[in-house]
Amino acid sequence: MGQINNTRLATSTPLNLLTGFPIFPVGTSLNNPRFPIQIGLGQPSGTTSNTIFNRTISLGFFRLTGTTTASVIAGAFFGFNLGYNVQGQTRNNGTASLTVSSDSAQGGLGFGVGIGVSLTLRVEENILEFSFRNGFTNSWRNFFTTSASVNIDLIDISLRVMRLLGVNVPLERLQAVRDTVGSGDIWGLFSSNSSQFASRGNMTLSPRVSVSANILPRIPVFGKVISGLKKIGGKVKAGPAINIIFPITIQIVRLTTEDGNYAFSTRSGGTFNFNGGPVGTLGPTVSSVQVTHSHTVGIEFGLELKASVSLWSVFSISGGVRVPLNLGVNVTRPDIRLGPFFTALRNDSQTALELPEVVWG
Amino acid sequence: MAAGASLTGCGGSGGGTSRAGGMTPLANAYRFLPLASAGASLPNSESIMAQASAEGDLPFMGGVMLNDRRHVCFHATNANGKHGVFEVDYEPDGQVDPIKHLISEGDVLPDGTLVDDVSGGYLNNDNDVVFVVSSESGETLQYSSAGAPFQRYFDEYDDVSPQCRLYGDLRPEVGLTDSDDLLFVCGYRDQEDRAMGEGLFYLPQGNASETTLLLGEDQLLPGSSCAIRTFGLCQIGSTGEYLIQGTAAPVETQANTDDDGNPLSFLARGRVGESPEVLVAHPALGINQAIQGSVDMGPRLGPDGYAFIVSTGPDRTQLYLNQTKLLDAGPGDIGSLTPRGARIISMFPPVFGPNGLMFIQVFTTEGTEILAYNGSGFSSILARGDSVQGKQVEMIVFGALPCCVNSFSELVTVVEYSSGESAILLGIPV
Repeated sequence: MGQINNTRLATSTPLNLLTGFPIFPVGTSLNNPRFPIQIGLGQPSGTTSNTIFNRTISLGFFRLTGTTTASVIAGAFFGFNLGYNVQGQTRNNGTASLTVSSDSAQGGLGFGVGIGVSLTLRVEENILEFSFRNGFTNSWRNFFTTSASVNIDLIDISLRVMRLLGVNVPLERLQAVRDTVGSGDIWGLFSSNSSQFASRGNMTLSPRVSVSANILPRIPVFGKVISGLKKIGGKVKAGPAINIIFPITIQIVRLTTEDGNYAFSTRSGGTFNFNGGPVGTLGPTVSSVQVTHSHTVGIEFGLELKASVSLWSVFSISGGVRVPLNLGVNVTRPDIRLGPFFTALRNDSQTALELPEVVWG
Repeated sequence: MAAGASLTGCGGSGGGTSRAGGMTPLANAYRFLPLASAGASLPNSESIMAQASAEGDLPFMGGVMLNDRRHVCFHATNANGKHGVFEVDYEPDGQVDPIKHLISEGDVLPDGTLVDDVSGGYLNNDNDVVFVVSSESGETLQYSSAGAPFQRYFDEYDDVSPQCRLYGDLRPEVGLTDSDDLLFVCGYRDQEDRAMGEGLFYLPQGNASETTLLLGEDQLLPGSSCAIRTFGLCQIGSTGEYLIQGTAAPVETQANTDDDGNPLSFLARGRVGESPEVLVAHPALGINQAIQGSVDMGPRLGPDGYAFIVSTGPDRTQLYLNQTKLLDAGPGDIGSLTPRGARIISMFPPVFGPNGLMFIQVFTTEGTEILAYNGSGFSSILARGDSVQGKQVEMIVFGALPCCVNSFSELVTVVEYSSGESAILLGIPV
C-alpha cells in the first residue's frame, strides 16, 4: 500500500493565464495527455477585410452609392488553468483513492477585434443634355460625396455602449497579454470556478459574452456623416453582434504513479476511487503522482458586423459580414461539442511564472 | 386647379400597363392648397424655417402623413434649425386649423427621454402616432394616442415579452395599423442571452407582453436554402398581412453580397401566423419562383394588394403592382412615358389610396410628377410647372410617402416653388 501525501497539482503556482491547458490540445489521448504549456502568447490571426455592402440605386434625380467595408484582426489565446490538492493511497489489490480539495480553475478566451470601418456615400445628379447630333442624353454628375474611415477597437466601443445602457458584459482589457502579443488591444473573457470536484465530480467553466450595439454614434469621425444624413432624414447604423460561448467540462479520469495506471471508477464526495492498477506489494509512499483529466468543449461563437443606411421610408440598404475568429481549431459549425481532450498534471512538472497583469471584472 | 386628370395609360417601352375593366373612377382633377408654408408660425412663438440654410437644413424634411380624420403630421425644421414633427387639422372644404407641436429635438418626454432625433413615424386613423426616438441613451419607441402625452412602448434593450427580448439596433421604420398592431425590426436575444441578430416582431393591438417573433435572422426563407441575414423596411396591414424587405445568403456560400458588393436582397409577403412567400429575390439567391431583382425601396401594402419597386440594374427600376409590371424607369429610352409624355428616369415607391387607387411619384426628363393609377391607366395629378395659387411648382420633394393618402383620396405632399419657397400641399379631388 502506497501513501500519497498531500500534494498540490497545478498548471502554475500561483495560477495564472500564461500557463495552462489549451482548450483544443491537438493529438491528445488518454495515454498521451497534454501537460501545461504557455497559452498566453496565443495565435494572432491574419486580417480579414470584407465589404458589408456596395450598392448603387437611383433615387429621384439622384443616384446614391453606399459602400461599407470592415477589416478585422482577431485572436490571442484560448485556454484554462487548473489547480487542486490531492492526498490518498494506492493498494496492493490494484485499487486507489484520491481526495481532491482546494480545486479551482480559470478558463477563457483572449481576443482582439480591431476593426477598420470605411463608409462612403456618394450622390450623383442626373443631367439631361440635348444636342442635335445625339438628341437627349442622360449623364451623371457628382453631387456630393461624404466618407469616413476609422480604425476602432470594436470591443472597447461596444462595451462602452453596453455599459451606458446598463448591460454588464464580462470582458476586461488584458494589459499584459497585449504587451505580449504586441499589437492591438486584447480583451479577455473568463470564467472561474472552485470547489466543484468534491460537490459535482467535475469542474465546469462557462465563459460567455453576447454583445449587440449600434456603435457609430460613439465614434467621433462618423458624427459628420450621421448629422449630415439626419438633415435629410437619413439614418446610418453599424455595429457588431457578438456571441462567444464555450462551456468547458473537466473530469478526472486516471491516476498514474511510479507503479502504473489506475482508471477512475467511482466518486464519493471529494474522494475519487480508481481500479485496474498494478496488483502486488507496493512501496510505503508514492513519489510520482500524475492525474489525467479529460475535457470537452461546447462551442458557439459568432461575430457579425452589420451596417444599414435608410432614408425616410423610401429605401433601405443593409448588409452584414460574419467574421471567423481564430480559436486555434477549425470550427466550421456553430453550436457543437468538441472532445474529449486529455490533459495531465503531475507533482514534479509545475512551472512557476510571473503573474500577468489581469484586471478582473 | 393643378392639373386635369386624363385617363390615358402610360406609354413607352415596356410599360406593360393593364387596361382591364373594373377600374375605379379617378377624380377629374385635384385642387391643391397649402397646409403649411415655410416661415409659417409655430406654437411658442416659433416659426418654420423660411428657406434652406447654408448648413443644409431644409424647412420640410422627413415627410408628411394624414388620416381619415383629416389630421396631418409633418416634419419641419424651425427657424433655429431644430427638427420636429407638427400637427395640423383641416376641414373638408380646405379650411386649415392652427399648427400644433407634436414632438421635436430637445423635448423631454414624460419618461425622461431627451429627444435627439425623431424617425419618420406612423399615423393611424385613430390619430395614434409612433416614432422611434433617439437619445443619448439609445432608441425608444414612443407612442401617443389621440393627442395624449407620449408614453414609452419599449426601448431597444427591453424584455418586451418572452419571445421578444430586444438587444439593440431598433430600426427607425415601424408599421402601425388602426387597431394598434405594430410591426418593427430590432436585434434580440434568446432565453440564454445569446445575441440572435435581427428579428421582425409583431406587437398585437398594443399588448406588448404578447409580442411575437415573425421572422428571425438565420431563418430560412420559405422554399429556399437561403438564410435571412438582415431586415430592411416593413409594412403591416389591417388583417395581419405584412411585407418585409431584407437580405439573405445561400447556406452553402454564406455570402449576402454578390461579387460587386450588392446585397442579395429579397422581398417577402406574409401574414401573422402563416409562412411568408418570397416575392422578389436577387438572382444569386436562386429562388426561381420569385421575380428576379433587387428591392432597395420600401414595399407598400394596400387594401387589395401590394406594390414594390424592383431594381434590375444600377439605373433601372420597375414598378410592380402585385405580380404585374406597370412601369419601367431608366436612362435613355428605357423609361415609360407619363400621361404628359415625359420619360421616366426613376421613381419612389407608390402608396395606396381607397378602392385600389395607387399613387406614385416619378422623376422624368421634364421634372417630376405624381401619378395616380386606377387599375386601368395612369393620370397625372401634379407635376413640375403646375401652378398652385399662382406659384409655380419647381420640385415635389415628398410626393407619395406612406400615410400620405386617406380614404377620401385626399393627399398631402411637400413641394418647392420656383421662387424657392416650400410648402406642404393638400390635394383634394374635385
